Amino acid sequence: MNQLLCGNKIIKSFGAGKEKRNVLNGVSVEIESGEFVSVMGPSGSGKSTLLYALSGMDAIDSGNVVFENQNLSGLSDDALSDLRRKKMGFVFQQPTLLKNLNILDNIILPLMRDHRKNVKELTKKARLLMKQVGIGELEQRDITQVSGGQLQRAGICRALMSDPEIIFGDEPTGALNSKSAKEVMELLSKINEQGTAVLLVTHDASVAARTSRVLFMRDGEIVSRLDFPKYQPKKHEERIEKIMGQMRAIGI
Amino acid sequence: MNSRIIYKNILRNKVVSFTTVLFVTVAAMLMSLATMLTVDMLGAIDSLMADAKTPHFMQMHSGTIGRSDLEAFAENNSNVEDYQTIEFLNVDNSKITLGKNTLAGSVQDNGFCVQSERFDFLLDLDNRRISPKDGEVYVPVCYFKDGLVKEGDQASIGDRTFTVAGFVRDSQMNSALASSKRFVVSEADYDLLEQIGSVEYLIEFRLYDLSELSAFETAYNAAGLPAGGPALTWPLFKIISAVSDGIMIAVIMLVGLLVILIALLCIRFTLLAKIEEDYREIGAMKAVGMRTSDIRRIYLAIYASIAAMGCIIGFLLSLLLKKSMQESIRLNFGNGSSSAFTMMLGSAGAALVFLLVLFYVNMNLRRFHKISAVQALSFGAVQEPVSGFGRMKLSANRLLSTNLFLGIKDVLSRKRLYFTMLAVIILASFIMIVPQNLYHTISGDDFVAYIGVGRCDMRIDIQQTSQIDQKTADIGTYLNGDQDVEEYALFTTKTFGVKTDSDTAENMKIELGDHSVFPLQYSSGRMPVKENEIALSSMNAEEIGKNVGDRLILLTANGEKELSVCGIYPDITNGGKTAKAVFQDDTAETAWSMICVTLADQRLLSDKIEMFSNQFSFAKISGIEEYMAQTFGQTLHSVKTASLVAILAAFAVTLLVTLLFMKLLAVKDRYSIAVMRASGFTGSDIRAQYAWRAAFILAAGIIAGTILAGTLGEKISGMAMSSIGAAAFHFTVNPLFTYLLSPVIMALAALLATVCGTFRAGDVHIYESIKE
Repeated sequence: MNQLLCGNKIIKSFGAGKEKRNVLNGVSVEIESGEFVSVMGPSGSGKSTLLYALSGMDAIDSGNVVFENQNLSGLSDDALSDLRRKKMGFVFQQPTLLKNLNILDNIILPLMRDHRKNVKELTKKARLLMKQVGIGELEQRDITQVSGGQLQRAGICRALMSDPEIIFGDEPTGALNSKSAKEVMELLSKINEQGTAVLLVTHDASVAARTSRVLFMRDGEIVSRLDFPKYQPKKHEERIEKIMGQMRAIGI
Repeated sequence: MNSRIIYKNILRNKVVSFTTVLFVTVAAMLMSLATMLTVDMLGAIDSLMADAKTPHFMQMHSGTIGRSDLEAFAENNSNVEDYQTIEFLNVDNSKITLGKNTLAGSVQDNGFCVQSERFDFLLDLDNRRISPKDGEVYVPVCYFKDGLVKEGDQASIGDRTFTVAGFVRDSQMNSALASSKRFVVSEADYDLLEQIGSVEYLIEFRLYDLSELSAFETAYNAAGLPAGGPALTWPLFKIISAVSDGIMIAVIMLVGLLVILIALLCIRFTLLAKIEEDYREIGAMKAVGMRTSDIRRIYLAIYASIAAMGCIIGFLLSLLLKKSMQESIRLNFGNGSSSAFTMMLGSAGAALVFLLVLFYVNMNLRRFHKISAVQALSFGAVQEPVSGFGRMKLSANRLLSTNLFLGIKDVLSRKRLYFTMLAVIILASFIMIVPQNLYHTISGDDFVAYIGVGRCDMRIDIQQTSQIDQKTADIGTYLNGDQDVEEYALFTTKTFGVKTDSDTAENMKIELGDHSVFPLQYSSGRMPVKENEIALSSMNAEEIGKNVGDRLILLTANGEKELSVCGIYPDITNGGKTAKAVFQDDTAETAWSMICVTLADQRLLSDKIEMFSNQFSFAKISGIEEYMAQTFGQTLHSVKTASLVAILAAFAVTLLVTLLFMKLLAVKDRYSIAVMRASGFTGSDIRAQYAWRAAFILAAGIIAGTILAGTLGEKISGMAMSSIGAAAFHFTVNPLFTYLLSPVIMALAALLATVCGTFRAGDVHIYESIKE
């Protein structure tokens, strides 16, 4: 597999002067095309910060991030936006949809910027994706009229509209009940199986157990990793045990 | 704890707090200023009229008078407290030169008199009675205000030279709207001057009880006493005195009210935005058992501090500004009420603004009761229900660019929020267009017709002279033979008795002649064309309670004459009380005549004026523009200044309010911006969306504002103008300004503000904003 995303010795701090605190302490990480990676660690360990640094959404103090052979630090704000729109997808803990647009409009929104003329095709594609994720009947609903799980799925549809190379998920199941969480994870696995890389941040060992690689973070560093073979549902519990064991071993 | 919350809140939103304080400051300043100036002016007029012992009734009369009849009448009328007849020596304006400035071009009737003995005293600038020495002249204060003359200058009257020893405050004739001006000289000098002028009498009465004034007027008219000139009364003196400065105060007050409105709209917007921002916190406070009234108090305290700050600064500024604004009032009338009393009322004006803000905030905070703790904590602020165009779908959009679509969609789905900005833009374009249209209208060539003057090039007034009819006819004959004269019309004004509803007689001056040559604008009906028709000025019609179609009985020497009222027209000349008819009459004595002239070639105007002035030294010849400039010049100048100030004010308001809104919106919309940025929208996309929102509101606001200015603005202006006698008012729109310049200025302000306000709108911390 090809290297898709690579972070080298990333340092990121917040605050200034005496208050200055390093959140990422020289983290290096590599993600390959089509890989399914999760990042675990306690609150404040730097998981989300790493995710946003790797996606170019947040600037870093030093080190570099290379996505498809492009150094993100060298790109302008507009170029980074273009990259996010065309090559990356994002799923957040809370469903992040715009209140004054209905579900369908929220999903096609990013691509409408450049492809307004093809609105018919975009709508067709969005409907197909919505059907695939099981919210086909909700397209004209306002976002206040559907459940959290359904919104999260709409968010995933939006992330998929541009056929991205990678999807970044910041605790995408964190705000969902276990049934919805399971469905969302099955969806992400399916997307991954179709060749899209997925990088997730999670607290939940059960979520991490579905990924092929788990990175453990503590105090701004990756302190350990676990690699798994192709996911098999019957080995799910076993993987959870392994992840928990590893967490205990490294004291997180 | 409250003070810390307030302090932090004010500091956290510096631009917002600053703008709100600024608007409250300006509003408080204007209200305090208007209050202080009103109190000052009314106090000053009252004290001037008290010091001068202004007559309650004055009849001007040219011609002979029977003093014994007048004395008998005064003695027998139980209402008369005091009576006097004083002389007013009309001197041709061309014979008066102040310093280096001749009054030849003045449209005022300038004349001389000596200090009165019993009442109607003429006062100096310290409100002391003037007693000029021989060789000294006291000049009406309006000429000092106009900068024509200063103390110590030489004044030549006829072939005599005087020293200007001071200036006259004339409680009757100070205002430019009063057509006569009195110079004061010593008795010896008056006797010497008498040969170069004609004497007019001012028959003056002081009454015991002012409320009996109209009964007295009726009695005077019924007694057949001299009435060869206008009759004026105490309330009219007061109104005429107050009009010029009163208009200025009214404008300040009006602008003050508009600024209050803008301040309240801004407060509403910031408050709504703040509540929406703090929705979850409010829910949390409610959930832990805080009373709604306690939560309200915190918000109220924040705005109370802002309002208090603004009102205090505004009041202090008004004290600073008061001095320069008072100058004209002080010169005209002297010092008014005690400064402590004025200041107290001024501070009350500012305090009123404070209370208004507090009341308004409190009213808006009522929505706290509707906030459900559970809903606030779970879902945050409730989305405004969208309908109509607000429901338009991105997926159905083929025409608009996505940024434009999102901009407009946002405005339509949050109408309540954007209404505030829309209202301010409407107000601003209203403020910008109305004074400009008003100025354009009243400075236009056709406007003379709105104020009772026919549209001509020149007017020739023949009054205060003997054999008026003969002289008028002579001029007519001359004009007939003059090749340069294109058209002319002779008008003779005569006094007739009019039978009132209560069967008493009232005097009315009727201008007779062919009114179709230089037609006026009629507010209702039309000009008189038949022998039995009469048109009344608005003020006259109102006073005698007649409308178009009503019957009017005229008392002539040949008996009663029945006329029907065919039209009502606006008029600001001769105190606003005039009438026009076409019938022939040889019975009544002519009070004055007037000839309107148009020239074949307008370039000859000044030569012709000079020529006619030399030829007909008994007549007053004035170019109509000069006539307008002098009677109406001060008002015109004030409106011009006001219209320029209004343009600046509207620009500043649009700039500040748009800046405030855009800044606030950008803060409020952090979440949506972050969502769009995460989805790949660039910073310039975000800015474009804000620019489209501003442009959309701007366009709607300008259209609504322009329509409103043409309708409501025209009505308001008409009302203002009718207070000085003009009516039937229609704007002459200046299309270049109204439809091009004004929108461009507004757009410039809004664009500048949007660019500044949203310059960094796209630079949100995406994941922090999303997590909030």
